[in-house]
Amino acid sequence: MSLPPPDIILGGLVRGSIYGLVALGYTMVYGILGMINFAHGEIFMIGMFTCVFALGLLSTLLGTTTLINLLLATLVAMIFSAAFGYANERIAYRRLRKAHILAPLTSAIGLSIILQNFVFLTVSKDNISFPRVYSDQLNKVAFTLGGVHFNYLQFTILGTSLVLMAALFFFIHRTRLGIAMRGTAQDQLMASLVGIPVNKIIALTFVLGSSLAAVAGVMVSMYQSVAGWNSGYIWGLKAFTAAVLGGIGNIPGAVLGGLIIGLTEDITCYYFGSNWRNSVVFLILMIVLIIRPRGLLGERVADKV
Amino acid sequence: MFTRLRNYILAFLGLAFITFPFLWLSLKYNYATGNVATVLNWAHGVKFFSNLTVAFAIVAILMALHYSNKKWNWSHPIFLTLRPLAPLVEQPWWTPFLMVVVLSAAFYLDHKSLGLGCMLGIYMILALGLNITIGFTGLLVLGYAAFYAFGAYLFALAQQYIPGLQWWVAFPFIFVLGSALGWIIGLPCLRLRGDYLAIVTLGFAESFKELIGNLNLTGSDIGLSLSARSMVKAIPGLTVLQTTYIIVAVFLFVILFAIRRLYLSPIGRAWVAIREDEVAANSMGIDVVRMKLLAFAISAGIGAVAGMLFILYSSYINPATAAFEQSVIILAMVVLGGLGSIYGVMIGAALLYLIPEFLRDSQLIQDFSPNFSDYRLLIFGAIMVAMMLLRPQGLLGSHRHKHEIKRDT
Repeated sequence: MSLPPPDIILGGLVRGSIYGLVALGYTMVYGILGMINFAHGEIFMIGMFTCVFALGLLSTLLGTTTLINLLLATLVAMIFSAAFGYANERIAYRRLRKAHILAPLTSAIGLSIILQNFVFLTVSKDNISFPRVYSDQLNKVAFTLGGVHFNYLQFTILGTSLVLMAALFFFIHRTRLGIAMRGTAQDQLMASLVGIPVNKIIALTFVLGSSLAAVAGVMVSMYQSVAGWNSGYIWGLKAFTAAVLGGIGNIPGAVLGGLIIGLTEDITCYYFGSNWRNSVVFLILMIVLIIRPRGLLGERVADKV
Repeated sequence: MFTRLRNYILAFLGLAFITFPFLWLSLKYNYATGNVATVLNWAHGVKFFSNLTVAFAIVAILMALHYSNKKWNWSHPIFLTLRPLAPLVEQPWWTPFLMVVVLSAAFYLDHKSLGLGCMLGIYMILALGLNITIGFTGLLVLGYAAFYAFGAYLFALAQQYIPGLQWWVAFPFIFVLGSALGWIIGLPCLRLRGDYLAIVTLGFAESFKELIGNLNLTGSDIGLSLSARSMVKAIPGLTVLQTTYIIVAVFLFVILFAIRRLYLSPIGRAWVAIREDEVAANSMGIDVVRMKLLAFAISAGIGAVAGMLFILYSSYINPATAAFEQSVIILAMVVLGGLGSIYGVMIGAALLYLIPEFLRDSQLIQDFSPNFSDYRLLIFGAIMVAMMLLRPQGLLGSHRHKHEIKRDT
């Protein structure tokens, strides 16, 4: 068994960086509320779809197909996903914050079923394709190394993810809002006593996580050139696995977990075929939960949000 | 008053805005250039809403009740119609009569109703099994359909290697193996907080679906089909379907009584204690991990037995049985009926299984929404959210809870 070729490694890193972006949303909400945001995968899927809608609107209105349209559409997708994330918080979480742990989880599962089936019924029962005219502009070969092609799209995804993760890290550790978020995560009552608007901060957490998920969704639909009503489920599940793997509630952990899951998945595909990718990912999750129940970086409790 | 109205209007406008592209726009692809155009399509959204007319009508009736009573008044006659069911079936003297009625139904029901009865019984067993983990012990299991599929595949495979294997020989093994599987899955994650279990079981169900979809042994994506005649030896004078119905009914009663006994035993009390407060339960000397594992294993075993019954009834199984939708439907039954209420979850199973079946056949529904079954999961999701927000204890939950407090003191 030889080492996997560099394009597999790069593919795994690209996939992993997307998992990392989605996992950030899970880990932030878990850090601040101690609850799994079950509908996060569906927010990611909403991002995919709104981006395609916005692209269609922009190419009709402007008559051009430049990359600026793609940027604008990503922005629209972020806004819509953020709005859905906010609605999710208002509907499924806010009123149940003090209830038994199962209550918000069940309502979030209900909401994720609603969103999946809503898109299934209103948009398409089949996968829709990402407009090729946009993804082709990025899908050019950047350079060839040892007979293996690397294209711009992969580097765009990797670069965007890393920039967003760094920006989030900066936001949480260096800005007043970030400090307020960390304060809320530590103790909601104390945070509200020192004048932090706890409800708004929690809503902000959902909005931030959702807009990151939207970017991830746009990049995934571009990378795979399809978007489906059920794609949020499996991507969300694996991103959550990544968050648990890295230690849930821990931001660097989510990124690390995402990269590990992505690499594992692509390397598994290379050696054993794509039929076993999900099983291997969950096998890893089980092993991690047995050996290190708090995740790889889980000990650093103070770093959470 | 006005701020409240303003909030409702704002919420409505917000929801209308974020759902706008999905409802009122549609995509037009130009495959030659690879471009896409978004066009307004009013008919699209109108179709969606008109298909949901029935659901909206029900919600409107409930809203009217809500506002006529100024609050959710669950002693309103429309809810009282549900209430009598609980005390009736909870009386021990009633049960033998109920059993006789249910069993004798095998003789006078027609072919189609017997099929419905079999599936209803299987769903009730599944809901009862899932209720042990979610309702009694407070562990969220999201991949319950995997245990169901596990039992079904186990029995189907055993049939292929041991032709003519009868269910009464197989079911103890299936129960034990299903429990063992649940024990193995539960072992790594039950030491952790409840939400890890949700994800691990979900992941397990997904992997299990992938596993049975990939192996040639289990017939890959096509699944396995067997002959019902070789599996079920018909009682003389009855058809195979009638016999299957009786088998399912007997299993339902046995499992019902077993669960009821367990629930009233020290084990059941330990489960409820864990659900209410894990730390307190632990400090009172309950072995929390062991009790959780026990609950999980029993629940998995019951799921596997339900899978065996499903094979007896349908004699066909494919990987879709382990799908997430299946788990969600069972979960919705438990949530609707009332977490932890034995008779509640059975009523939940009956409502959520029979209503879509009847709606599918009803001519009125056919006229309003031709593909109503597509909307089933959407409505299940809405029920789950609404139940959690308005009545987290389920339809019969509070009733049973009152009894429980009385019994304990």
